[in-house]
Amino acid sequence: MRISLEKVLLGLAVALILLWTLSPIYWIVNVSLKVGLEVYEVFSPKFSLSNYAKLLEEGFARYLVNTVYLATLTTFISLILSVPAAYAIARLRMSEFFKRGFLAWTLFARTIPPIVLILPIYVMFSQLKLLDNLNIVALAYQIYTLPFSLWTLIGFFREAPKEIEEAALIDGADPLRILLEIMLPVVMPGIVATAIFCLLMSWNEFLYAVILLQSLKNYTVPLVIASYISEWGVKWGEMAAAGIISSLPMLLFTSYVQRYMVLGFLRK
Amino acid sequence: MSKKLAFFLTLPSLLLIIFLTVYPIFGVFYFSLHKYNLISGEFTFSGIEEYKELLNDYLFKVSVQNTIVFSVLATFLQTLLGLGIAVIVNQKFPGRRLILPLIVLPNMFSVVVVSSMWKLMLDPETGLVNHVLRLMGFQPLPWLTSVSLALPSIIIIDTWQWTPICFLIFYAGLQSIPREIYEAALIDGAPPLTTFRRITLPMLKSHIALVLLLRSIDTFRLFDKVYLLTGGGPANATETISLYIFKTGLIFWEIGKASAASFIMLGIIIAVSIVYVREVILR
Repeated sequence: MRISLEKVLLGLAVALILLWTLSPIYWIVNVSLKVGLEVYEVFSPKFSLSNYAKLLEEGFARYLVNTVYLATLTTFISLILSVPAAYAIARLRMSEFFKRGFLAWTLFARTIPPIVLILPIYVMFSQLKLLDNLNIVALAYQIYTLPFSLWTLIGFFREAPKEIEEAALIDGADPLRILLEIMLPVVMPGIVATAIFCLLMSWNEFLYAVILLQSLKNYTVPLVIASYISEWGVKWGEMAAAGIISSLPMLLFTSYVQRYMVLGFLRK
Repeated sequence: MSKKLAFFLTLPSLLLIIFLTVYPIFGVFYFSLHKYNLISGEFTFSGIEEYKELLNDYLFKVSVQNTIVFSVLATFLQTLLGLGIAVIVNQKFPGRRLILPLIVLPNMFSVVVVSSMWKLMLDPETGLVNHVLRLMGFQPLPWLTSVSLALPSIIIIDTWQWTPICFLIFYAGLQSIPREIYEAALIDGAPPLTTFRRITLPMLKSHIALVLLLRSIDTFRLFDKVYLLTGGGPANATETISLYIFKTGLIFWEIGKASAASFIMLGIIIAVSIVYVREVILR
């Protein structure tokens, strides 16, 4: 009897957790697929893609292109800078003091609230007439992605076995060739994981986008969704549809992201 | 030769990080000592005048208070829920592997999408929550538009989004505790609560510390949800430091004052940051 009561409670708890977790997601999908008051006909089989169609008519593709461009450029800059640096910190002989300081600072940088850093950068870009420029936003996004990439890549480089590198060193290969020809293939899964996280971070970023971008033609997807949110109820179907589309990359990588998320937090 | 090369490889990253963190920290401090208005062009040295004004600014005080209340409550709520869910999911039951990705799902959405979801959930007229309340015979509630419910609503939304991360960290921790310890406790006849207090909690100590640090750092910078859902209102009930800096600096263009607020914000968070950096590096 006792055991069955425990099982009932356990089942109830799991059901509650899932209800809490899934109902907002169910609701936004529902709103995106229904028109007007049909949203309340919860079990009605009538679905329509008209919200998605309207979104495309309103030029949503342009914002998707902007966001893809920005995310790709941000990730490219981060990787091109962080891969060599992470290799040097993890593998080459350098002053311990410098290494520890560098590591501590990349970690510290991720704890600073981003709003605190943006004013001097905003003033500088506004004086240089560089506001409202996607390339400049990609540079500013390095505040998020560069410390993150450095930190995770240093971990991946450290985990790679020492032997392969030592064999090459004995053969007289120089560190750059070791990085390109031996280390890169070994840490490639780590680099791919880091790249995916950088892509997702810049894909979803809102604060710096809303500060540094001004004209509609440069808007990213999060800015468009934000403008729907503040439009006070008129275009909720479109807002929901835009939210679903913008979440697709994240959902696509769910299982992958989850595996590395835990690793990223718990790495020694 | 190798040392020079190593330094050369880190240099570009180092320079960009300095440009994006060290330069702004000094910049913000420098601006904070001036009356600086970006539109009128006024730029005159004023010493600690802006700090004095901030401490007398009602809105700033409210924003600091709201931020601390939000940060403390949200952090504890998320830690508790994350731990609770991890303990529940760690039990053996059919379908456990299937629900794991479902529980983590909320964190797969960006903060803007999460905000739009909850805008749809909490709307007083058409939202699902009030719809269900009405069906059950309760009064509908003005979630985001009432002075007393707005901040709790934001806490609920943040908790929905971030409990999964706390859960994941605790779940990984629980999985690393050897089953034999629990079996031994069971044989010794220890009641479940004692097992939890004497085995689970001590084994998860570093995970709990990590979650508390991560969540307090992140909740302290709360911006997007209040910017998108309440704009700091009603009656400043959800005004946060980040939002205050944004409005003062980038809407009213008082860069000096906003910089002083930024520097104070940095000062408050730095203690937590240092503990976090030490905790993670020394692990």
